[in-house]
Amino acid sequence: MKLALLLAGLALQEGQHPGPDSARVDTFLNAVRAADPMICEMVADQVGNFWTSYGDHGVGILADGSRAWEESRDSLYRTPADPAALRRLARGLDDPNPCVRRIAAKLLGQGDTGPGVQVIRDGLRSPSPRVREAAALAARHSEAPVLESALLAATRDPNPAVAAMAAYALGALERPEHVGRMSELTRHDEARVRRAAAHTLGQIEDPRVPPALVPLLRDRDEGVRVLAAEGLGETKHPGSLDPLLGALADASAGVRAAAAEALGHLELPRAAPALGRAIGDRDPRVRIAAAEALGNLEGLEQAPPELIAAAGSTDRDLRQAAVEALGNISDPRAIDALGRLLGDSDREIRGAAVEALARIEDSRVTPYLLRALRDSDPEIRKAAAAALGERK
Amino acid sequence: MLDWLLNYAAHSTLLLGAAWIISARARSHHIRETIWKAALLGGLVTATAQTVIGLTPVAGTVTIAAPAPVPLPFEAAPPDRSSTEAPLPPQPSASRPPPEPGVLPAGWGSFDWRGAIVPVWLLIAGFLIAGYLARRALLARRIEGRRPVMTHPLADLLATLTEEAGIARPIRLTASARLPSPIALGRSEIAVPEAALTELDPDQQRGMLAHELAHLERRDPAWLTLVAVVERVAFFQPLNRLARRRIRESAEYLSDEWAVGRTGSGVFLAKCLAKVAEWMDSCPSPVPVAGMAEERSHLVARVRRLLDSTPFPTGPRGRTLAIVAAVAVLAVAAAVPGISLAVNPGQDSGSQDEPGLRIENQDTSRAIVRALMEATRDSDAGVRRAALSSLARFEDPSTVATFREALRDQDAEIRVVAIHALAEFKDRGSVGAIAALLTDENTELRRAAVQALAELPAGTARNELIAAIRDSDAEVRAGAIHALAELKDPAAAGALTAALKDARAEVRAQAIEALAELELTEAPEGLIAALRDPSAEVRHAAAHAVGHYQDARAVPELRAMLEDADAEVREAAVEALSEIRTDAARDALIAALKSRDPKVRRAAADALGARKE
Repeated sequence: MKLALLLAGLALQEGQHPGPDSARVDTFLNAVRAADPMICEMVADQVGNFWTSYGDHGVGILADGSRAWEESRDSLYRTPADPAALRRLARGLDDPNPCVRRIAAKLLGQGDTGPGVQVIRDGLRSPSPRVREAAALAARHSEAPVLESALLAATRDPNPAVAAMAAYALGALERPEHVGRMSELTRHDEARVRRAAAHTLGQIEDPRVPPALVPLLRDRDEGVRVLAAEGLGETKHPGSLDPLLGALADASAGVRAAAAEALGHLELPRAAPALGRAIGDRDPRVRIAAAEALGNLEGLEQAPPELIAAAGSTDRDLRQAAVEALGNISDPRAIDALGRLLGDSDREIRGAAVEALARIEDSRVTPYLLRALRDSDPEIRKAAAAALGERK
Repeated sequence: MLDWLLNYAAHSTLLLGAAWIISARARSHHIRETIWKAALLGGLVTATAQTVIGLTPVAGTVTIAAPAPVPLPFEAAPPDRSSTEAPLPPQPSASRPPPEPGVLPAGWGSFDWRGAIVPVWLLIAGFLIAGYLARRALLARRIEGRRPVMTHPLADLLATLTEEAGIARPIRLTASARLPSPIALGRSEIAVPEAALTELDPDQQRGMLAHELAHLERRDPAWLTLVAVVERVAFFQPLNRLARRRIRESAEYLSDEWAVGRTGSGVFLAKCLAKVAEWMDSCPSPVPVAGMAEERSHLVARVRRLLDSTPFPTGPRGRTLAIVAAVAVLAVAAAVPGISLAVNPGQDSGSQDEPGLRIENQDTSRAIVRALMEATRDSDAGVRRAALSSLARFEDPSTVATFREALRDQDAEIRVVAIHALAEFKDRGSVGAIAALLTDENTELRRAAVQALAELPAGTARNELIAAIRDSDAEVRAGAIHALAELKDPAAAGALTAALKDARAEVRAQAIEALAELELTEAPEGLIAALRDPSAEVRHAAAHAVGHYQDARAVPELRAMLEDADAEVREAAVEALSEIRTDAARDALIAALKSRDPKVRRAAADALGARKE
């Protein structure tokens, strides 16, 4: 009885704000199908975003911008109730155009109850691998608990694309129960399946996750190693430290950068010397990731000399990362290096240098703050004036 | 220290140069002497006033840009093969645009010349002072064997002169064969060559002694020592030599004048001078003390002057001149721009463990205060605000003027910060300016102003505070009332009584409390009506106030209040009744013994017990 009332209420709400009808779905899917692939991907990215904020109360609308289409647009981010519209979307999961399949999956996955979920469940059982893969993607967006067992089954799909997408979809649920299955998948022959498993393991908080991810740091696939490093960073488990330190020597720059970033997430100060050395990496991404990571280490009081030196780098982004990290470390030995940055041509860096100097409790900072008080930028003068007040 | 030296060099050049020009036009040696002495010491005073005491000159401070420190190579170069990064050079000074990355600022070597100035100065000054002391020691050795002259007629002559001049302290007279000319020593000794005892006739002796006595009376020995020390310490100022010469010259001329005034004629003194000149030929080494004839070139001029029949030029004397000179020096201290070197970052690194750290900290603190004071005149309001807030934390009395100035800032928030800071300083001088802000359109500002005036001796702001009782903002009204209560000025009673009709209960309550604070001779009108106020807070305050004034007219109301809905009001009513020593009040207290409120019953019992009837 109660359920009937609830459903009636839902129906009433849906009546006020109906999902798209079949004509609307047709128009939309046809339009993206005919569009340039780049346009289609951009639309696919936007599906499910809350568009209404655009031009609120007419602000930001170009002159003569008619808003008649708003109602139909808004209908698109509600799950369709119209059976005909649902059939159109189900067919969309089998579209030859992957972008259209992706859009159909996202539209179907906009709710975790209702008739859309049933369409996804049916899709997972489709004879077509293309449909099963798209349905798994829809299931990821839906996050409907009722789809969990179907997704687990799909991880055993003979088609690796389906198995990978199913493993990826389970990551959205972040359930420790899946660690075992994911650990098995880390030994899958297909790299894309192992990547999905590594990614999903990184989402789950469980003590069994780090031991499952560590071996993946030596995977032959670069993407798997990157995702394993990222996942280990998310675990915040001290046991992840040494394997990640080892990954700083990976042949791939992407892996080294991911390992540096992950070490920053671990926040263990013991990583400081290795991260300091990583500032000398030949790849700029690794250098910046290492500098940023050093700023995240918990209770680090002494900045590695490489970080202090990086404050004088010609790479603007590295300077910025270094000065911000030094601001978190508050090491008096960095005073002069930070002081030199007060002459930087980039106002953001000068500002960050003042902020960093302000946090160091040492009398040698004062002359630099006095100098910053004469900066050409008022915000920097202001920060210096405020910081000098702390140096009574 | 470096700032002081720079300031001294600039100020002394200015003052001594001015003295040179002005003194050339002055005929009176009194004026000349005062000008030179003021100029010589003035530089010390003004430089000290600006750098040590932190006096801000009207003309501001001229900052010399700091030379760029040459960047150090990295302690450890990053082990990065591809890195060809050069360290960014620091900006030479904030006033110049930053140089292109990779371009080293040219000109300055790695040697920081400014760090060497102070030590080099100390070294040379120390050397010169040592030389001076050595010369003094030499003189002392030379006249070590001098004998006191007691029985000689010269001693009687001196006694007569001393008495005539009204000098109370005994003046020692000594003679030495090794002196070329008579000298005045210290505070009270005249040393003469042995020859003076025999070769001069009594009139000449009289002239000589009068001259030396004049030196002692004018404290010339002390002055000349001081001048000699200043000349050596500030050796880099060549004009000091000139000043010393001129002061010495004037000292001789003025002593001659004095002697002529005492002895009636310059002829004998002139003859004596001629004699002294003969002695000096046989003993040419001069002595660095006030004497009679150290520099022969002046002797001729002096003799001519003594024999000239025209009277000595007169002018203002003594105290007047000293006051004029002191005012002039202070004016210079306040007006001449100060000089400071821009801070050179990194220069003072590694000084953490030195014993002089405390003093250095004071210097730093002073430098911060000075820089923040400058930043309070920034073009950006945010900077001014931050600088002023920071400055307030130093609680440095020398910054008061800056906060007074900030009261006129366009930014209301800045004015609020200034008001609070001036209240913290208890700055009597800004009461008027803060009171003037009570009519500002900004409410926060008016609130801050009344708060500050409550903490300041704001007697002169009474009328403005009374006007603020009619402010549109209740907090301002209450604050003004509070400030008036602090004044304890009965003249505010009328305005405070009017405030009892304020629309806001907290203002009415505040007014009642203030009326109690005023200690009026009789209870103000309106308190009884306030006992019936709809607000419990007001009734409570009113009960307290009528108790304070022991207003017997309030007893019926107070009696009714024993049944007030508010417990605190009931208690206040009992307390007020216990203050009022009338039978009606006693009866009311007796009635209160039957109150339903046990606290009221107990308080009434206590009050009745305390009456001792």
